[in-house]
Amino acid sequence: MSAPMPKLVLENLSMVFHTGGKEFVALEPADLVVPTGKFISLIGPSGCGKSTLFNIIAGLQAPSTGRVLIDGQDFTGYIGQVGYMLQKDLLLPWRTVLDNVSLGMEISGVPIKEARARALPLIIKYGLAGFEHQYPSSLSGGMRQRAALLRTLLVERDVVLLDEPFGALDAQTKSQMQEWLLQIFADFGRTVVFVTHDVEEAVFLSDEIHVMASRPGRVIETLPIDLPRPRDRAIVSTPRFVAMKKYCLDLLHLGEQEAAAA
Amino acid sequence: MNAKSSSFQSAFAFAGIKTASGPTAPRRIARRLPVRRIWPTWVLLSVQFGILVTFVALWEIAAMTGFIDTFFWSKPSAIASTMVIFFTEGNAITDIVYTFRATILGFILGTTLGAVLGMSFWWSRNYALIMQPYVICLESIPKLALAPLIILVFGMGLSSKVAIATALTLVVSTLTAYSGVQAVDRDQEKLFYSLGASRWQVFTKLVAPSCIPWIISILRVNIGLALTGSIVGEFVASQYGLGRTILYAGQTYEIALVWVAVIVLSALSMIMYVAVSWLERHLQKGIVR
Ligand SMILES: Nc1ncnc2c1ncn2[C@@H]1O[C@H](COP(=O)(O)OP(=O)(O)OP(=O)(O)O)[C@@H](O)[C@H]1O
Ligand SMILES: [Mg+2]
Repeated sequence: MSAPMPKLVLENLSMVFHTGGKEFVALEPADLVVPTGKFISLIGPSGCGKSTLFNIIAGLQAPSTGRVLIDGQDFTGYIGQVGYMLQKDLLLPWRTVLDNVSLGMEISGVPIKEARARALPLIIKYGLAGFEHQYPSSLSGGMRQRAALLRTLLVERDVVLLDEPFGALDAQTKSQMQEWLLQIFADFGRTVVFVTHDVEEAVFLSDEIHVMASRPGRVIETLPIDLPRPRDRAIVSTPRFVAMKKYCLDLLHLGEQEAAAA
Repeated sequence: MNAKSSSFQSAFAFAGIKTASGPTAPRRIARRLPVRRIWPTWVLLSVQFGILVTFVALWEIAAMTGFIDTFFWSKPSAIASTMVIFFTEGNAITDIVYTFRATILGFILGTTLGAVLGMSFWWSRNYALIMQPYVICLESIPKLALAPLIILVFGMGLSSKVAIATALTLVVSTLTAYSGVQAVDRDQEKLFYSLGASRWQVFTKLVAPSCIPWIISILRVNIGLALTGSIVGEFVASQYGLGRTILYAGQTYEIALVWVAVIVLSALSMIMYVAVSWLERHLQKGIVR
């Protein structure tokens, strides 16, 4: 029996920008294997190429080298193959929450009525009940992120990329949203790649963490997080959790020192 | 609460931090937020009406006392009686309809074509770059200077007035719609493409709705431009219209008739303004649905 095929594979993926005659290595050749149904996090300092990596996976940017494989098939440069939540929520101000959440389905060609009918129960189930006919301007930051995330999930792609979805939220809302995301992750069974600056968030949510460093952007270490699921908030004060968090922080710190020395 | 705050203060004092109420702090001026009270509507209306009445009365008195020369300025009573004559004896309705029709047609043509042209630049960067100098050129031409030529080409009739009104509104509309296109959020575009959208979907679901506020902003400007265009067209050569009436009255020193035509034109422009405001609300609802 062979091992099951991983959902997402990045092979030798790199990105070099040419700006004003100068070369800028945003991402050194990176390899990444994401098994089906796993939650993977990328952590690293600002500018280490996390968003660049996501743009390449989503087909919005052509990589300088390398391939993106989904279920073993080469999808480098193809759009619409993964669900991608960008760093901003990007809700359309002229659409209601319901129509914003339905946008992805609408674009995939689902008739608007059906798209709404599918979106509505999820909006209600995942904490936006009563807001379905409101416009984004009347939502709080946390609710906007929920709407944006639901929009991403409803396009029904197996791979979901989340670029710092909770970066701009206050600490309390953030921890609520993390638990909410774990719930969603359990319910939907997607393969998630998650970007964050927040080490505790990464350890709390993930099955595996890839620590990145900048100048040039690269992956410096991969560590598995074998904490049991479902996870409870109380886990953050267990010695194992604290040890993993410290290990990640040290790695990040090391990367920064190297960058400063270089 | 008082006790608490004072204990805080002493804690600060203990830490060597100067608090605002300390002896060295400058005296603060106690100032309230200015209150802006809006008068009731009837008061506003009567003041507005009062200003109008005073103005008209002063004009009339100045004319009676010989302070202003009625040969050049006419006077309200003469204008009023001319107005009655204009509407009862002349072919006022023909003129009004003529000018109105040219204005509306020019307004619609110029705005629609301009909006379509401006938004079309979204489709191809190359096309937009190639067209840019021509659009700027067209903008810099004083369109009204071309009026005699347009009359020659399109003739004395309605179509030449429509053409001038269109020429005036078209370029502004194009430029504004193009600015709207350029202001479309790049990240929003990225989001659409990440969802696998086609260019047509991005255009109809993102670009067009984001341009609507820009197009709305041209509507009001275009009323004035279209009206100017059709009147200038009538000045140059026309058999009908309020512009022709003004020109004719001026040449025959019937200053009261000039005023009558100007008042009617202002009324037309106000009616269009109201219509455009109504349209705006519906367009805004349209993108919101
Ligand atoms: N189109 C581009 N042209 C030139 N340089 C670019 C371009 N896009 C990104 N970069 C550079 O590549 C580097 C990585 O950018 P990226 O947005 O991927 O960082 P990030 O890890 O997502 O950072 P953050 O955590 O701040 O979002 C940055 O230094 C950025 O300046
Ligand atoms: Mg980023």
